[in-house]
Amino acid sequence: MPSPGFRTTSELWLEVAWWVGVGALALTMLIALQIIVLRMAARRRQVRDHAMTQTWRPVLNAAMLGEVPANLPRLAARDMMSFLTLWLHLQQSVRGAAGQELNTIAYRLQCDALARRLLARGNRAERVVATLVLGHMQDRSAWDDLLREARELDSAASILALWALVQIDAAQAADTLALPLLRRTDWPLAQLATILQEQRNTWEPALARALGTVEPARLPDALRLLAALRLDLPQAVLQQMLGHDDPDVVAAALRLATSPEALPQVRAHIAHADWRVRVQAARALGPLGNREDVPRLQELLADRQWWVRYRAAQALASLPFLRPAELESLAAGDRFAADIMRQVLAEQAAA
Amino acid sequence: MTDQSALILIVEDNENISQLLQFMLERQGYRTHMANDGLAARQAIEELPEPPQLVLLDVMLPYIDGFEVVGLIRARAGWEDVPVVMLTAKNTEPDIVRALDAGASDYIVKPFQPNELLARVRRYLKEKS
Amino acid sequence: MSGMALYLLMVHTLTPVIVVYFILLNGAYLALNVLSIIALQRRSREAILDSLPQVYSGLEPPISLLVPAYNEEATIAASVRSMLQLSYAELEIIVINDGSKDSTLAVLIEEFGLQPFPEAYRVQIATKPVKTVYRSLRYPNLRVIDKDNGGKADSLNAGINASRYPLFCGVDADSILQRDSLQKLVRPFLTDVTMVATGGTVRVANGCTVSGGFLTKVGLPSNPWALFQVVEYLRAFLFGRLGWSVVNGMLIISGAFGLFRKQTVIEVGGYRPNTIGEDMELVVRMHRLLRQRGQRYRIEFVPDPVCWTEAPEDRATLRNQRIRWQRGLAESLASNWGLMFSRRGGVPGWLAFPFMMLFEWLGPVVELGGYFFMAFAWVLGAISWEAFGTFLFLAVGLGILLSASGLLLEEMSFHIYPRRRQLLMLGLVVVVENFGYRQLNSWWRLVGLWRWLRQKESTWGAMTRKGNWQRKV
Repeated sequence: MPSPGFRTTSELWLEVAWWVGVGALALTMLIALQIIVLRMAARRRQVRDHAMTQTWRPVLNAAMLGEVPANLPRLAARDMMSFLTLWLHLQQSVRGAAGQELNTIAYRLQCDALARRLLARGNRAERVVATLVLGHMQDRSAWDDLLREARELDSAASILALWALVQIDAAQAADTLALPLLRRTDWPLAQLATILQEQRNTWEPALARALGTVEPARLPDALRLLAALRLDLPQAVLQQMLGHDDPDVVAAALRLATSPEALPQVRAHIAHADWRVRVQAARALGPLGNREDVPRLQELLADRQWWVRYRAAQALASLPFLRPAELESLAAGDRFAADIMRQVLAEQAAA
Repeated sequence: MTDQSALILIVEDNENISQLLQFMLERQGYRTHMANDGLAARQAIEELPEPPQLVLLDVMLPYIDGFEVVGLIRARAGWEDVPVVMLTAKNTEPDIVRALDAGASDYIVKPFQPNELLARVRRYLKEKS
Repeated sequence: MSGMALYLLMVHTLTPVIVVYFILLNGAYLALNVLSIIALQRRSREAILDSLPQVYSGLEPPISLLVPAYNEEATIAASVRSMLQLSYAELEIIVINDGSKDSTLAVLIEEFGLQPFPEAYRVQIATKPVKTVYRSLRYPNLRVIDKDNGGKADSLNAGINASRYPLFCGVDADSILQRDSLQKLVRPFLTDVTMVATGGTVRVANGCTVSGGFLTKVGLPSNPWALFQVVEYLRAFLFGRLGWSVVNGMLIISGAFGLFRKQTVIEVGGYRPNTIGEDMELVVRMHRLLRQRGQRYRIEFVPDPVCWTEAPEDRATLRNQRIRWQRGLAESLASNWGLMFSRRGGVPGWLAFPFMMLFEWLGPVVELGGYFFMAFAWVLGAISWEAFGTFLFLAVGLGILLSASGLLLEEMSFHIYPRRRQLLMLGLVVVVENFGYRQLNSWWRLVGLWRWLRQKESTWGAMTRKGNWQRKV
């Protein structure tokens, strides 16, 4: 298309403007086309998925109730991913015998071979699905590939691989992955708790051992993880942590101080210089403390830090042998102490 | 009225689970009425001519959560004694306590065992008749 | 040299400048959109996980939800009720009544069974005096702070003071959220310990069915102003910001819904009171001060449609809103000037801030100025009608391209408008918006810039709220 002639000497620029405009229009057309293509593809996929679901959902439902049909419908290769998604969805909703029946169907359809292939060569989304499938199917032959996946940088994919490995063999997973687990900063606590909570027996000793070899910088987070998972450390290790130089480590270790043997060290840290240690010590003293700890906690009621005062007040309020009147009199000396005690008592009354 | 024509109200927003529940219960010969969110549940509670023999109710529902739905069930005349079994997602104590306090008769933790759920349903329906 | 010759010289020099600016402006936004594709690819991987049933352990990081409220008696009860229904393991809700002149507080006391609570209030950021703290008997995780009027920033600071949890989320009282909004917003915090803030953008709720404070069904608005805004949001406020997020240069988190690490916000001084765009000002300041300190941090944009709001449907309200936004932008940039080209500035200082200055702050001047200059030159005969036409062709063509790219990205990611009719309507708007709406927008932003320059105290511009979509459940 010939460009119109221009009267001024800035015609070069206007030429540029013209062609850029034409380019923009062409790109817009392409975009419109792409949008239509995407829509049509999405629609086709939707129709296929619906057909697949209509065929397979009754089969899977029947299987879960113990009635596995003799002949299974044919599963086309291109429906595999959406079938696996449906299968996974059901597996995550049921447990027990129903889950086992779903595995039976999966083995009959050779989903394990497919999943292993996807794990080795698929894209990110396919690998995630494959990991979950292999975990549910407890397919040991995929161990090495899953281990490799668990060491990946991608946090979502790797933590799922951890889950799968724990499903297959919790003890071996603990031996291999306890230390890497403590080292990683990108595995969410919440997910780790769900994965490990049923396998505490195997993981507790492994994590305690790994704690000995983890870098000092990672110790506080590692200890916090153990506390959140409600795992117990052997007394010797705990006491070593409680005597550590780094206040961060001590504060984190205090979260694990739930048994009476730790009491002397907990008491020693009540007057620590770092407020984060004082806070945890006050908190720990609640369930552990007795009458002789009351004066110590009373001092903390007037601490400079709000959180120390709060936890100390809560600890005192949780002691079974102190009544509200006594608690108020304990706090009467200092304005901040009185304020925080009033709040804690009101919270208790409301609960 | 025999067990076989018992009506069960199922309130569950997850389609896979609700389909499974419907499949399970209808195979046993029960009738089912489905509601897939809190608003549909409320509508069912208001519009069903007679109370169901059992309600299976999910806690996490869109728009009105399960605890409120239990309240609505207990508030409707003639529905006070309908057994309500809640499906709770997490097995943490506060949720279970809250479910029972709200008026539920029992709870089942998700992920659930289909046969166990069936057994509980049968027990409640047997108690009723 | 004669006056006309001088004028022709000016035209000769300025025309290329204007043309280049238009190309750069649209090209830069286009580049951001392309960049955002990277982030979208990443999340499509995880989409499968979202569709599977979620298992919660209760160990997700606890969040304090801060809801500042001023004269919201009509809608506050419904809003708070819907926030109580958010599915999140550990959540406390703090409503801050900013000295409302109507019965907002009374409504809250009545609806939620509030009782005064002896809170040991902890002043970490200075605010206007707090009168009383209430706690709900029925909902133990709900507290209400009654304080003297001090503005939204001041209210948020008071909420921060009272909050107990390490993360806080600032919400507007009229934000419409979804059940899993908080879970989506918190996700970046779970896997990256250096995360200090995440935010999304709001979607246009007009035309959608809202029930019980939650979105039931997505729909397109019928009101033309709202329709234009739908496309505008896709073009400029959504994927562009995601693009910035990829390079950690995101300078804006919408005040309607943003999640912050409390400690970091307190360290940078909290929200700045008496600022018009306090949400943007905080984020820019966070960039500036954290960069200065050399601290590693990330601020991420969550593009999922998790927050919806009613967009203005009449010209006057929309105008006031855009004027206000431009003033807020200008204030945020001006008060954090130190970030521009600062030594450790990184992407925020060397790319994002200059971008904002050149294209957002200065944008309306050059855009509108360009149109007028070219039109004037044509009228005076300094350029031919073909030249003027070409210029218009360029400006509108690039605009359409940009709007279309927003639509494509929406299709690739969330496609919340699945019906064919909706797509056609959006396609039409993509074209039409460049024939007046965009220019009108530039004019309003110019007014905003002017007002900022003159520091004129304009009224907030009370928005006429349509109550019909907030149906009581």
